[in-house]
Amino acid sequence: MIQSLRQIKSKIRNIENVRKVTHAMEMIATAKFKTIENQVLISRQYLAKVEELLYNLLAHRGALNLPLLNRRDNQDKIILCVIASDTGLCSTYNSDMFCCVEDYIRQEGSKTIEVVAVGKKAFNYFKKRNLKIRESFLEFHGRYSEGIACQILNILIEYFVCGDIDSVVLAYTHFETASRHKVKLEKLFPIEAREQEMHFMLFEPDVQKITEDLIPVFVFNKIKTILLESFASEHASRMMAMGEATENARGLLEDMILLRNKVRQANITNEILEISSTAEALR
Amino acid sequence: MAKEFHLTVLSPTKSLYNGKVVSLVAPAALGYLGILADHAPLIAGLKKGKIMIKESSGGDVLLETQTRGFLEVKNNNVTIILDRPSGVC
Repeated sequence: MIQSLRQIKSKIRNIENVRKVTHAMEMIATAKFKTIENQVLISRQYLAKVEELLYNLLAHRGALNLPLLNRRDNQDKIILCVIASDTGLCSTYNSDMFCCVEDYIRQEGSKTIEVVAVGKKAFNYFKKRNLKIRESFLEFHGRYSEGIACQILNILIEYFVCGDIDSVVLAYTHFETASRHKVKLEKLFPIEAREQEMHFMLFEPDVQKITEDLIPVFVFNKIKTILLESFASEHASRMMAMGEATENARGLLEDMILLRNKVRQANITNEILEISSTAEALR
Repeated sequence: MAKEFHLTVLSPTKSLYNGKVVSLVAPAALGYLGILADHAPLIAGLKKGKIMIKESSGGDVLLETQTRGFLEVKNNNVTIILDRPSGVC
């Protein structure tokens, strides 16, 4: 036989261990995904309302002069905020993201692009690629908290309002279903009005004041929603990837057990042959 | 029977109210504001205070908000958005 029984047995043990690990990771990802999934849906619904309200207001703009609405004449300096994961083993979650970002960078070739990296994978990738990283946020591990969103938001606002940056673009993974997500790039700042019909409307106290109050709510919830969407996609990808790995390990295990049994049988047959032939010889 | 309209009250973490109502009183920026069906389109800022709702079924609901918010009236659809989660007691 090519492999000894002992080798096969140790291989089976190894595969079993790997299967246990991937299965555990699948369960953890599932649990995290379940808790975040609901938050995504609620947050998305809330954001949609805020967005609708904001665009209604912006359609009525008079002489609105707010820092976050300020369009710059030249759009040369872009901050790209890329949200990826801290750890690997989540299928194509990170590589899809970097693929889309590369496309974007190629499109905007002439402009200066700097990166705000969320997640270790993003940080490492852009470091290797020699793109300037302005700021990085690491070690979130797909756990959302208000603090994280505030930190990221404050940095982005600071760059846009006080700095020399002309626009801020977010790259995140839009969560559709557990097995379907899509990378999206969206401009965050400057906030631009959408083309839409202007309806007659009353305002209390006035457009300027309401817009001033609404914009912080909008940007905060925007960041919150995209973080939640990305984290949910990350957990979902990991869940699927680990599920598949567990399944593969199970298949491998079955083959190995079959092989082990065959080898064992062959050994027994051999031994019987040996015994019977020796007995024959001794007679 | 009084005409009714649809009311949604949203906070960042959950939907606090969703249903048909007959009237609504909300603490707008310039003072309490009453809204009935067929109100003109309106966007208003809300202060903290009490939101009083008269439901179509005849019941009364009182929401006490601890945060600011926004109110939008559009085609007999009223949406109230509160800006913080722990807004209601």
